[in-house]
Amino acid sequence: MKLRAKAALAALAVLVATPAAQAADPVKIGMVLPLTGPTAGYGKDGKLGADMAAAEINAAGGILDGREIELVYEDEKGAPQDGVAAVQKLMTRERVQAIIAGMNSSITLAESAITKNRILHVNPAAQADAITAQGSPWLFQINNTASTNATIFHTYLTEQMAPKAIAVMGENTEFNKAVLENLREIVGESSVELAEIATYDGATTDFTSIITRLKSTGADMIYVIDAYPARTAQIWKQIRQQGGFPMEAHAVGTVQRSAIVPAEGAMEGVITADIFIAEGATGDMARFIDRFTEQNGVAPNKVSLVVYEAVKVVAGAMDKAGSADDYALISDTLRGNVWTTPRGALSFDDNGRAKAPYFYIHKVTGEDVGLLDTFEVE
Amino acid sequence: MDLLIQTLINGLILGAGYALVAVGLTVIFGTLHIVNFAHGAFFALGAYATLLIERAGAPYLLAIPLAVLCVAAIGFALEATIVRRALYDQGEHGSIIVTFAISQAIVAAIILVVGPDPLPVPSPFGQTAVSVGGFFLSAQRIFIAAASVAVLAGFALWLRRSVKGQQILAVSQNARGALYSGINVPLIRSLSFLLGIAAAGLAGALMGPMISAFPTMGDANVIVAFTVVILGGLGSIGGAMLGALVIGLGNALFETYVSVSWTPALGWVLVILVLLLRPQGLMGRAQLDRH
Repeated sequence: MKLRAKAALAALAVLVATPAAQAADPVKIGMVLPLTGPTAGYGKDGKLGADMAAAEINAAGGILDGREIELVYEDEKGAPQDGVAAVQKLMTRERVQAIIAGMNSSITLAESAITKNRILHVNPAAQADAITAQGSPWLFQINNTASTNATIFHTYLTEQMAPKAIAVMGENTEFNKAVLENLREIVGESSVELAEIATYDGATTDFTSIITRLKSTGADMIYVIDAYPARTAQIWKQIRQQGGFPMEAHAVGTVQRSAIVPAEGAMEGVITADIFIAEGATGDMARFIDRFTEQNGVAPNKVSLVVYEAVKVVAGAMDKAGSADDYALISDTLRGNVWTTPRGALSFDDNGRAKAPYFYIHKVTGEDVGLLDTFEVE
Repeated sequence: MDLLIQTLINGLILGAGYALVAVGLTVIFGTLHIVNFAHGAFFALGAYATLLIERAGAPYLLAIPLAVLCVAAIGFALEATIVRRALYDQGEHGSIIVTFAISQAIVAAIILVVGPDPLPVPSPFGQTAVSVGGFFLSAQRIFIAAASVAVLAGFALWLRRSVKGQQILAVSQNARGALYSGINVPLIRSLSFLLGIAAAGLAGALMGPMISAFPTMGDANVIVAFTVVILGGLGSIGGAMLGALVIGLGNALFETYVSVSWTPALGWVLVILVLLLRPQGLMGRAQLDRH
């Protein structure tokens, strides 16, 4: 009797180990988001987008002949060392088949050093060009690069708004570096003067003296490069308290409601830009906004959108490639196809960079941004 | 000249804010020898308590004292259940670990209850700026500076003149001696902890409208407060006020005339210089002995 039971168990073990049984195992995707820390709002928004994408994929039957998508979340806490630890944990302990990580450029750069040549890594939001300039074959980016975004925005600032002199303040980060490099280039080709650049440390708690210094240059435009919502609100409150500037702008892709609401009206009229705007959305984008709003009770923002797209693109590429872990094949599939997203058709170049089809100039109005102008990205 | 005057005004007002954050740290260290890494979390609690009380219908000026009471109540609960049992007479190393853990727990609780997004803390002063002779002064900052000076002066007076204040100073100088003199040392320790926590809560309530309420809002402010108390002398209230003034003016002048990028390093350079030349800080031991 005991012998029979052992034989039955052995047969069961063989069954479990067969490919047919494995096919039902979920495909695990590691999600590294700032769930706590100063940018935790981005993590919350991104998680809503990721969960919605996974639910849609699983409801449609999953990928690779019925395997479900399982998202495994880790917190990067808004710090490079925590981002690296999160990626390492997902790769070694959770054995995920792909990593979606990238909200802040400096953190994404640190994370990409770990994922390079080891696992498929999709960066949904971080913009710095240096991330995809590393020549990492399995690294892809959903958002535009900082230089693509900045070129359109800085050209708009210098040609359409045409200030005499711009004063710039921004946090000392990889993102800021890329944006400033582009600004110097664009301003150099125009008659606009770059009056002063004040680069502050992330630990700075007060900006009054920086603003005083910038105002003393006589610049007629202030341009703030900062991606942290609470600090963005604080800076604009302090700019307003010192009388403001005739023209005011904030870096591309960093102005969300999470900064506008705590600014309590101090950001009213500030010009910014992004690859997404809810206002006037039609077609797939309008349907995405409706579904998202219905499920979550809040409208999506850019972060929700790009993380949603990242999950969809990863799952789609794995499904089309017929593998969850042949990263060379999945990467070739990603580069060799056009991917339908709410924003339209996305395709990746040799560096793994996608380009958004459209680019929108925003003006802060009330507690959100309004559409000022639309550009088609070349 | 106008730029210099505006910079000096900025520095003085900034220093007043720093003093308020730093004084709680220094009271707790001076009396209990606890390096309170949870100070930033109590600072954040002060801002959130103000916000929630305002949402319940109270005006800002009433919400401030109520928020301080709320933070003090939370501080009292933590003191009775954790700090008193784990830290008193246990040295400074344990205090770093325990208070850091308390800080993480408070931040996690805020995220769980209120969420991670920054929230505005309404104030009647709002974004109002007063222009005097061409110089801009934020109404909220003037209020913070005035409240800071009033509270710190009142606190210093209370320490010198009241029996309980004298007992706090006695315990901070020699706890065993104070015990032999009949002072209820456990009570004085609890009182000191509560005063330190209440000061953090008050700073959060006052500065919340300026920086918004978000879970980690205390982190950067408490780092500055540490430089202030080390510069002024750990445990010295007068030192904290002097240190805050030096750092506030130093930062403002350095940012305006030298380099914005290097300003955060300035505080630590001053701290190293003071520790090399005067290890007890600007007003460390001498101030305590004088009492």
